[in-house]
Amino acid sequence: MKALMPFVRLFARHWGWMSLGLLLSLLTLVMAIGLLSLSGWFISASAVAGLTVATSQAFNYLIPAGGVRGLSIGRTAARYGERLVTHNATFKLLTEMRVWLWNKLLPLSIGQLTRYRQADLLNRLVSDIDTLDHLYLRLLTPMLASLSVILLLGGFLAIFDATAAWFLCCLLLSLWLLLPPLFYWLGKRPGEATLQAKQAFRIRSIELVSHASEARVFGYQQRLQQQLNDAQDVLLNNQAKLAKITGLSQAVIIVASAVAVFGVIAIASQSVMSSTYSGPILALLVFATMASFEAMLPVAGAFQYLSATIKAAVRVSDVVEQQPMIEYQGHEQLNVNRETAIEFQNLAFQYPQQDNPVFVNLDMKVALKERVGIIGPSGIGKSTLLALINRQWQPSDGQIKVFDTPLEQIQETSLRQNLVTIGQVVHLFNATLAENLRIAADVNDEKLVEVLKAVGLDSLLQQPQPLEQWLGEGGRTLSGGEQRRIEIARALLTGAPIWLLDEPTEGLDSDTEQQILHLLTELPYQPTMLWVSHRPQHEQYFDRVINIGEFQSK
Amino acid sequence: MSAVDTSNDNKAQRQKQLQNWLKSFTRKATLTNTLASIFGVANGLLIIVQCWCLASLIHGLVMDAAPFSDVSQLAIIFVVSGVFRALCLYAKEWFGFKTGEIIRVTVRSQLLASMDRMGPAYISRFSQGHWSTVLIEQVEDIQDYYAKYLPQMRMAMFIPIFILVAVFPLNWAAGLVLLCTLPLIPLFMWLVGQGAADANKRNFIALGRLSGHFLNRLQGIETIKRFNRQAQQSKAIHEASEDFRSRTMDVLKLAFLSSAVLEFFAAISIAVMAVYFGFSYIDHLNFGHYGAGISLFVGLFCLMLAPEFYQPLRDLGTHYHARAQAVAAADSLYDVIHAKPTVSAQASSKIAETFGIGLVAKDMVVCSQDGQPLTQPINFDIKPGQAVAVVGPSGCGKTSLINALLGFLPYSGRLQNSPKLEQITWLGQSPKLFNGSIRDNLRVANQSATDQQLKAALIEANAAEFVNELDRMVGDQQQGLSVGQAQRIALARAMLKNASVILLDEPTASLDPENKQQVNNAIAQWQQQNTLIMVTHELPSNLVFDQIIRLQPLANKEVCS
Repeated sequence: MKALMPFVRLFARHWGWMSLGLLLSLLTLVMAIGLLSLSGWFISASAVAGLTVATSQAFNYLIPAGGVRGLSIGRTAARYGERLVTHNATFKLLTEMRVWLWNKLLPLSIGQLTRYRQADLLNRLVSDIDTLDHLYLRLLTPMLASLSVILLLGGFLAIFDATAAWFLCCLLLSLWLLLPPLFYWLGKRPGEATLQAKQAFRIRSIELVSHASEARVFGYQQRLQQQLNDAQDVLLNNQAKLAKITGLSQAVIIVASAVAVFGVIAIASQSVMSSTYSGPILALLVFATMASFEAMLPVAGAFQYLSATIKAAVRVSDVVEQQPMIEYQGHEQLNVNRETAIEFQNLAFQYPQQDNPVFVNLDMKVALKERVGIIGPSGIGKSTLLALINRQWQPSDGQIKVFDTPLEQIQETSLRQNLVTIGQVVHLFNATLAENLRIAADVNDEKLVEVLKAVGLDSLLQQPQPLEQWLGEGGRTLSGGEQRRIEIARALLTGAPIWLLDEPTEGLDSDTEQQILHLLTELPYQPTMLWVSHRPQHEQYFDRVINIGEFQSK
Repeated sequence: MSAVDTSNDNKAQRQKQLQNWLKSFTRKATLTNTLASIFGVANGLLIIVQCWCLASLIHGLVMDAAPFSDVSQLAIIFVVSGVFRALCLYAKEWFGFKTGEIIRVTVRSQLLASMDRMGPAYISRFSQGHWSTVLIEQVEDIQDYYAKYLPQMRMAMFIPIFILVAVFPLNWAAGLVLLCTLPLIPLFMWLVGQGAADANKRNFIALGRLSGHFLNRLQGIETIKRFNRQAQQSKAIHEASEDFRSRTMDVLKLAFLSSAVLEFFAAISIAVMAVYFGFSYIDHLNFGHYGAGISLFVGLFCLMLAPEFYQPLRDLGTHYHARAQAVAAADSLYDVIHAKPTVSAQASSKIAETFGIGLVAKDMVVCSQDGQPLTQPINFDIKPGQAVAVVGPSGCGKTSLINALLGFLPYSGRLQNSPKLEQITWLGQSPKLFNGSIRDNLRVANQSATDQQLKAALIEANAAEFVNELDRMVGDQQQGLSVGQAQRIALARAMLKNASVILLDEPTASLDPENKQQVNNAIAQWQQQNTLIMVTHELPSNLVFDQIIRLQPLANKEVCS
């Protein structure tokens, strides 16, 4: 429960919309109860009045008949308004939570974030955030609205019959108090087990698909299918438990409403017999009791899913409560007019929880506009060196200077402006071509066209309004080579003097590889390059190579 | 204009087809499906009983001034019917769930059967993510259609009729109020639905683009940080999310109207009933009662049933999205289950030799399952026991050739002596070991192999470090093993299979030089008696080939017949 508090606090920002939604949902319930009770009273009263001509003529039918019409239209309008307002509020909360999550994720280092990217946890994070909006729509609003209805109804009925009002209030309040924990408790284990079973089922189905060839050649399809079926059985078993709980939650409300009506009639009939009040009041009490259960319907059902909501909240909190690994505290602005672009002094690095350092005693200077290749067998720590310059990790010993300024003293913005990284994965945003490029710098359209031509993406310009074409999901798909060119175009737009390249031609066929190599060595301006490569044939493109293997501790 | 019309027509036709297809599955679960509906409808009948009791009760207490003890029997029937209603709802929920469960199991097994029939070449056309979505989410998405929507539809058909049957003999005016509103409901809902569909269509592209915006930015957070665009993007996320909100609200404003229509009719009919009966009692109105007069019982009974008359329809409205969701899911489920190769793989003839099969290809063009050529015409003559390398630029169909030899892809032209799958062993680029012990993983290749033989194969595959770890568990996705280690275990597995043809598809592509060397050495030892065909993009120095087949890029003249 405590895990939900940060989100409830976030909700407070939109208290206006949220309370309007609550108010309208309360109004809907009150009008629905009012409509049925008034109608029940009205026809009973008129039936009683109709017994004699005198009472019949004296009966004031205009006010109740008008009230019935008013309530029936009012209820419809209130319900419509409630749905609009609560949904609008939900979407506003969603915006709030997204921006909040985004701002919490930003200070985390790229190393910390990469973990989420790789394990596809981001997908889950987004759906967790979506789950949390249930908190308002399915939990807070119905619970508060039903509590208010119980109290209002109790007060109203007490005017006529205090005993009946007490009875009904106590019954409804005990349902309001007991059903949520009961159904939370019932739904907790199968709910969590269902999530786990789904996860297991996903792993099994991915296994089945990725082993398609192997399983046929070596004849173990049966085994994989059997495992998938077993995982499905576990899932179905737990879903069956949840279905029973849903059925139970409906059944409980139905039985409770029958008992409530029975009790109210038994109590009210005594008062009618003793002529404390007239018969039509009994009808009013009975109809009000029946109608009041509309407010109780969501109370049991909502809590069946509370455990899932809490789990989502815990997962989101786990992510956002991480301490950023690297804090930027420096204030130095870089002065790019230096002879040495990058300098490593006695640098050593060792991953946490690993026995051996990746490298030790690394001393090297990279001069301005120099193109240095970093080579060595895979797994030796070539990419780690780039990650250290990018401040994804903290060196274990020694230091790195960029333009003669120690890394720790450089202001974050200044460092980012002067360094670009080109890796193997290019992220294309679901956005227009122009927006995808302007991630790098705010420049005019002419400049964008110029850069696109410089990186050989003329092919993208062959259509009307080429800069407005949509890339990413649902848009134009780019080949691997085109994607690298986009990344190079972005780097060019920054005008950064230092480029860090991490196997920028990996995964490309040899023709495209040659084209990209050519492009990178014939750029419109000459940046300092630190270029990781495991291909010996690239060495001809470098001014100098260093082999990280030489700095391993022996 | 006609183009748009046809595409809309096609779309409507497709929707109809998918709906019928979904419905046809109920034959697999006739019993539970019927029971769910029966219990749902029984709940409606019990509501009528309850209203009858309650109306009589109040009539007795108010009009006849009867003491409670006189009517307590009715009160008990009322409560007992309530208990039965609870049982009915529980049973409806349970049998509805069971129907969905039976059908989901059926659909999944049909999906698996189809994937099995189409084979690895078809499966690899889509990503793993796609398949897990199809097998999990899309199958789960059809559950509520069977569990909730279909029973509710029966309830919406029958319960209003039962209520009319109960009301008409007592008072035709009240019956008429209900009857007249019934056809108005679908009319209004249709009108409103049209508007919502229009709004939806107008916003469709924008909503589609916005829906994945947040996830997409999260995925690109590294890029955004590298280019120092954090603040700007946080504003963009806010704007996109708000834009999404206002567009969705535009659609919802209309969509909620359709449920408002039902609400309105339910509320208005209560009001009309109340006023009609009230005015009848005080003699302002005098019709509808077949001359028998109107008792308070009749008035209360009709008043109580009025909201129940619309309730099944209102509930149907809340399950309406279950149907839409199921039809959307059916779109891809249908395609997978009905996937058929336009060109089918050739049946291969069993060959007698125990090892070393020769293969002769004449103008062999490998085709995709929908009849697209994937290679230029290939010619080769491989003698038994030869080692052959297949080289060529990327995209020329090297892997397709291997897939055709495995029988996973069809081809045109001739291939003599094509071996059966049992006679082939194979090793691909990225090793796949399943969750189980190393022993389990090796033994699939040769059920009768002793631990001694397994160990020998591991040593031969340069995986000697595992020789005493046959019980070691391999996690999901080869957890705990490096790529090189996994590839050498996979090599041992390939060696254990008693096969005459060895097919290797760039087995060292994802390995570093050291592992590469080790795997190639092991292959060189192993190959001597068998026919070996190896796809590679660089010829390994420590392997000797008898022949090199060079594939050329497609000339776009090839045809598949």
